[in-house]
Amino acid sequence: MIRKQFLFATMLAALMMPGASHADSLTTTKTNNYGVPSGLIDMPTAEMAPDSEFSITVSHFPGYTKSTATFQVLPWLSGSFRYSGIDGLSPAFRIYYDRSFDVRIRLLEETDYLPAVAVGLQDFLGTGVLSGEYIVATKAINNRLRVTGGIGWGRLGSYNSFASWRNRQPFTFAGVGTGGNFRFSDYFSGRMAFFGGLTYDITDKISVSAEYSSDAYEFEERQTANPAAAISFNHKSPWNFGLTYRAAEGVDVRLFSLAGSEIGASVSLSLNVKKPATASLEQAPLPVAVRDPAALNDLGWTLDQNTQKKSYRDFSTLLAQEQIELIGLNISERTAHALIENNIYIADAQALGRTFRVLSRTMPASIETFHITVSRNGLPLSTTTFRRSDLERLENAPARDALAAAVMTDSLRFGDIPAPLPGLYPKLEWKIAPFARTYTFDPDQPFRADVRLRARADWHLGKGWIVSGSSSVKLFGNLDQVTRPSNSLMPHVRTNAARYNREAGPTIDQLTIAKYSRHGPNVYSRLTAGYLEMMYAGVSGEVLWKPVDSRLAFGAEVNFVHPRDFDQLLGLRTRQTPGGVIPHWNGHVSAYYDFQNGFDATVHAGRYLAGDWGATLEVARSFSNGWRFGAFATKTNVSAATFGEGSFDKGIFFSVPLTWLIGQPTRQTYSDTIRPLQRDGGQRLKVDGRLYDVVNDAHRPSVAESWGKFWR
Amino acid sequence: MIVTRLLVGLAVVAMLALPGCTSRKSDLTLLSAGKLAKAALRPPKLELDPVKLSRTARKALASTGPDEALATVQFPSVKGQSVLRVIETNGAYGTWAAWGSSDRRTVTTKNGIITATRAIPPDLMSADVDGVLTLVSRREEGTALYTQRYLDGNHQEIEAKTSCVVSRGYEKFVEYGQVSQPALQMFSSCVARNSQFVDLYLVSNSGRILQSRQWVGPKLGFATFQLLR
Repeated sequence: MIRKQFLFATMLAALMMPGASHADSLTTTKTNNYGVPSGLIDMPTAEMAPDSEFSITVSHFPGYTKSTATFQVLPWLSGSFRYSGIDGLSPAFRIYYDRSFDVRIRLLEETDYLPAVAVGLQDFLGTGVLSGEYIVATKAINNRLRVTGGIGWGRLGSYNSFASWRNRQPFTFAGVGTGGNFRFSDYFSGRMAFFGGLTYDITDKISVSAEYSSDAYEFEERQTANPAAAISFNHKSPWNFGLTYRAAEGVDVRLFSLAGSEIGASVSLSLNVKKPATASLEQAPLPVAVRDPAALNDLGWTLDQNTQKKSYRDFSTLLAQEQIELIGLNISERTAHALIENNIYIADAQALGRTFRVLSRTMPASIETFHITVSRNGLPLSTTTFRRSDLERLENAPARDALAAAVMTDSLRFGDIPAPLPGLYPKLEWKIAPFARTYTFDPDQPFRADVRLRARADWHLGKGWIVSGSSSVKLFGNLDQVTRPSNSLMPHVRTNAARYNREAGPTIDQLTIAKYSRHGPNVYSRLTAGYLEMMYAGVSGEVLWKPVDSRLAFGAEVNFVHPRDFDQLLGLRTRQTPGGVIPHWNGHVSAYYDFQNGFDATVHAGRYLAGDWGATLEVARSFSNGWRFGAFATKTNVSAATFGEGSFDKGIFFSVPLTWLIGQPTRQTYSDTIRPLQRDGGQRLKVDGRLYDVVNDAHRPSVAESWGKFWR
Repeated sequence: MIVTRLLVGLAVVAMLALPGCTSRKSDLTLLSAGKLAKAALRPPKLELDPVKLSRTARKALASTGPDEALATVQFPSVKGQSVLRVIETNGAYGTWAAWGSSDRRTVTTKNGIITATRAIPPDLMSADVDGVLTLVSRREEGTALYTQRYLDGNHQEIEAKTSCVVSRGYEKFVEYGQVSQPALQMFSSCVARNSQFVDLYLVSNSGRILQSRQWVGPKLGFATFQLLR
């Protein structure tokens, strides 16, 4: 009887379900030989990876290795960076290494009867040995079978082409030149051909695929015939077959046959930046303590030194348990104002939430208003105000209700900031940790690295005054094998990296004194002097305008620099280089904009290290959890010929928050920039503690994006 | 009888909501309706597993006053059973933490229904349970909305709205720790977009939830919460 009732209840509940339809579009976590989302082998499909999926694919068949990193930038847009090595393709190199970029856009989502349609550019920038474009459609027939058909151009239009239109420059080594540029006139031009394929999931872990490939591997076959080149490739058949095994979550292994003559394998590792590798190990916060209504007007404590001292002591003890640093605290009859520094939680919203709750547990009941000022590097950045009764009322409500009740003000406009605790300064912070230094895409060896051990100390002398030093020593690695001399026609501002990297140390990586100040509402400044970075010493000054609730900021920076000795100790070297004199002065004006849909853009315009003038555009997708992926390009007033290989400076950058990996709360983040080529044009100084990075996290747009953490 | 009712129910669901064949996971595809039917045919356990009182639970009962609230909780992802005491209250909400230890993990309940967890990831941040709570504690049948909010890996609160049908079960005698009284089984069958779950409450004559098996999220599954006194 109960079962019947239960069954009926389930059906009834099913019918009551609010019917907000949700499209879950055609996605895959598999990648093809080119490392782009696709269930096929060499051919693309219209499938996309799930939003914010990041994958690294290494695929290999004899003589041919491709390593590709792909990021699903948006549900309908993916971007890839690839490094390929082809044995003996060119007589000039034993292995021909090539860097390439892909972009794919889904034009149409799959519907009940119509397939998803995507368009893609493969190797669209640079020399173009792998270049091809395609329009492709994929339809899921059921949960296991997906069918794909498309038309390709370039490489993908080379086998059994059915038509040709406009002219396309065929790939030759002669045409490589400085490379690195768009080839707009070639896209979707020349011969075109059909391709297609099937993917079938036998089980959740095993799937098979078969495809008809429109890539004839023409250039490889031609070079096979060329006695000077060492490549050997024989295209016997357009049919390719693959067997994919999902070894573990995020690990796919594939065996495939290609062109009727080759057997190969690929491994794809993927992760989704929205899903932490380790579940959070953060401790539970303390609950809000609700006041006894009878005590709300009891001001007796204001006459009692002991109660005041106890409140103060309890507050600092509990805040220390939350690992939040107390800089200052003011208590009056109805108001408490805490000045804190959050060096532990990625989200300042979480530090605010915990501090407010500690206030609720420790402050006398008559205090109704709480203010918290968040500071960093001695700069008060934002003051958040919460009514204590709202805190009590909203503890078990959705986080958005608490966001609506919080008021954030520029700390300088708010005024009345608590003074630093007596004895707080000078304060020494230090750490010793290993780190890796890499040197990529050297044609002699594409990847080299050193692991070094670094000691770093920050000595906070007083409000906003920081002396920072870091020194490192090489533990092991092969960066000293980089022998490639700079052939740059510009002042050698960065191409001497190999000379600097060779030093085992101990080296002084940074030794600076910095002063951070505020001169009025919305305005921040920094002055840094000393050994600023690995290659330069000097003075760097910066001003930033950023209202606390603004998504827009402007900055200006002026630097006076002198190149450091290669041994990276205290000496300086001549500014004279084979490519010209390194100028003393450089600097930029910058504009920062947060689109608040996860994307932000930055423009820097000004004079670069080598004295060239121009602008840099950076576009990034930033996640609330600390991940960041972006790309940048810099165009300056040097010609492509003077700039050298690559034509202009460009690359990708990323940040990985350590807490995502280990689950423990920490603000430590690993960041790196990858350039296909390191040249001297369009190079900026690297200086620690640039203001936007210091300020932005504590301002309302960023805090609001992470507000889900307020009650965590 | 069950099969007939199931078929009728399925037909209604199909007519209301289902496209014939799709690769999309819309609200109620044939697949999810099938899963629903499977779950309905083989409903989850209608009883709580009898649990022996742990030594900690006996110690807690022996060393605390008769007015101090004590309970045990079990999460599938957390090994063993924890003995909890209330560390703070806020209106009808009580926040529980491990008795006799400084383990910083908490569970918050509203008159017996779990509304939040902390440090038991992925955390349940808050929940709107009033509709179900009213029906369950009055031991009445009816329908109610039930909302749980989880924290995702990108600091966003994800809201899972479900609709629930509350139904009465059998009388049971609850004997656990110092609790020894008759109770009525109350079931709350809830359907969300891609899942469905059945919560079970054992409610005393006075409307107190003595024991329960409650859904706390797609990753965590069910928590078993039992009052010790």
